[in-house]
Amino acid sequence: MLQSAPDSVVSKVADIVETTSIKAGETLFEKGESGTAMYIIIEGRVRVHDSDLTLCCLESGNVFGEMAALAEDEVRSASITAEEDTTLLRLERESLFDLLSREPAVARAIIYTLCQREKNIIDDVTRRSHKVRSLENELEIGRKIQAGFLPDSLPRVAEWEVAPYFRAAREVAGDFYDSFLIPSDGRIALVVGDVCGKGVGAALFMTLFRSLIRATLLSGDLVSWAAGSEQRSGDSPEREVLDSRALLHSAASLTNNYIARNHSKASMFASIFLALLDPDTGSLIYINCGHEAPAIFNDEDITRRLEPTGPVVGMFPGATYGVEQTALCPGDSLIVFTDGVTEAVNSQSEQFSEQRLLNLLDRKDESAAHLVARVIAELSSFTSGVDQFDDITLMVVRNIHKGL
Amino acid sequence: MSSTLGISVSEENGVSVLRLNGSLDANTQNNLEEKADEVIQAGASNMVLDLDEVTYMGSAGLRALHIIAGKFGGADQSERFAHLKLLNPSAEVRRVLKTLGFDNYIDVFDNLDDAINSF
Repeated sequence: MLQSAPDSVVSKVADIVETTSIKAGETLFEKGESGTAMYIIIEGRVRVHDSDLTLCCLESGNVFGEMAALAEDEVRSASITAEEDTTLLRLERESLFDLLSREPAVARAIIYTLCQREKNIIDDVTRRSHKVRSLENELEIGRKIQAGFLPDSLPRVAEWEVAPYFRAAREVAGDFYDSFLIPSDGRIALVVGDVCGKGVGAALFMTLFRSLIRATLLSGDLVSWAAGSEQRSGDSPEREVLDSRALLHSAASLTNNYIARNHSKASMFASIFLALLDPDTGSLIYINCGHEAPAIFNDEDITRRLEPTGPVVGMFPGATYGVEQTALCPGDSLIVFTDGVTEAVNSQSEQFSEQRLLNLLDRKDESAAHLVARVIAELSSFTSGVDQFDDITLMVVRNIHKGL
Repeated sequence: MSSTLGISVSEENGVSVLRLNGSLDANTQNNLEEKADEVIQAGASNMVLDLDEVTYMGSAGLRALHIIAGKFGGADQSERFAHLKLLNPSAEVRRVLKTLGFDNYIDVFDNLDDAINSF
């Protein structure tokens, strides 16, 4: 700092400083403390930090603490901890101001140092801003590509309503839903999944879980498309039920074994509810892989919960999954949800809870889309003022056949 | 929303016992993994996680269990979870273990002696 100052000035500075030393690991001051001294490092090395985040390291000849010393009501803007045993010159505010008023050369030297520092900060902020923008662009690309892993449109089937809702907590998400017709089977696939964790890691695995399940459920069709034939098999209805069960089971176990064997180091798993709905009969066969139990309900009551039939997918190779069967009768609805709904918290840290969700369900004559909108409105008002913590996914499927 | 997890380590009859206190979630998952890693690096071959004072455990916590179990090595699942046992989870933590299907893979005990003698 005083490189350009004449020796006479340096000796005047030497008169008003005191030497102090700190041991390696010792913290000289913490961010937020008030302080009136600035320091010049004679020997050693200190770390400038904000808790765990290191901002920079300073060495012999460097100055710190000048902001609190020069600006009268300043508090320390960062913490200083010695990286090795360090010897410092300490200059109190009063002595410093006294010196500045007597020695313009010292004032110029300090202004020069501050300007250099400001220039470095501006350069650094500019560089970081460019980097942040480039990362934001990357995330936006990721978000768009991931959105392509959710269905563009849902199958439209007469006398059925399918209404999904999906909102990511961050740019990219670990939750997903899917619904599509399986031409060779004539059934509608319904899938809701929640990959553990959030953000980019969960999002990468979401694309894998979703694709493996979709590919397995459509495997018969994909193979026949490849062979140029889209004929449906003419087997008997009983034979079809067996095939659908086997198909559903293979989707769960193939996905599970694939991820558990090929990605075991990542320890990533997903809770997934997957089902095949026969739109003609309302028959629903399903596997619940460690997912919050979906509910079937009508105008009056919740009539059935679809409890887990096996563990989460991707964690335990060779896991077995039970295939269960139930039905959605005319007037029945199915709601599948992720824990982003039930564990959403309000400003008092209370959870929305499964009970609150279930209490919203049994309304007369409400469309699936209306129900989803009403649940989301309740959830939004409950969590008002709190940042969304987890991805939120809902799917409601409603049988609107007129009763028999 | 910042949660905390306290971890104290002791050794009982050659088994490392980690007593957890607080919330085992996405914020604290790394603390547990790092502490377990330290204990395993120092030579622990069997570990009990005492969950008596765990107020919350979500999917991130279960992921941590899988990761810790993996640190003991072992080719298949039964080997993987042979060296890690749980003690005294709350009813809600038990419900999470059951919902996600971990209850078939990891042993849960009500008292420390049973947990230690199970290795």
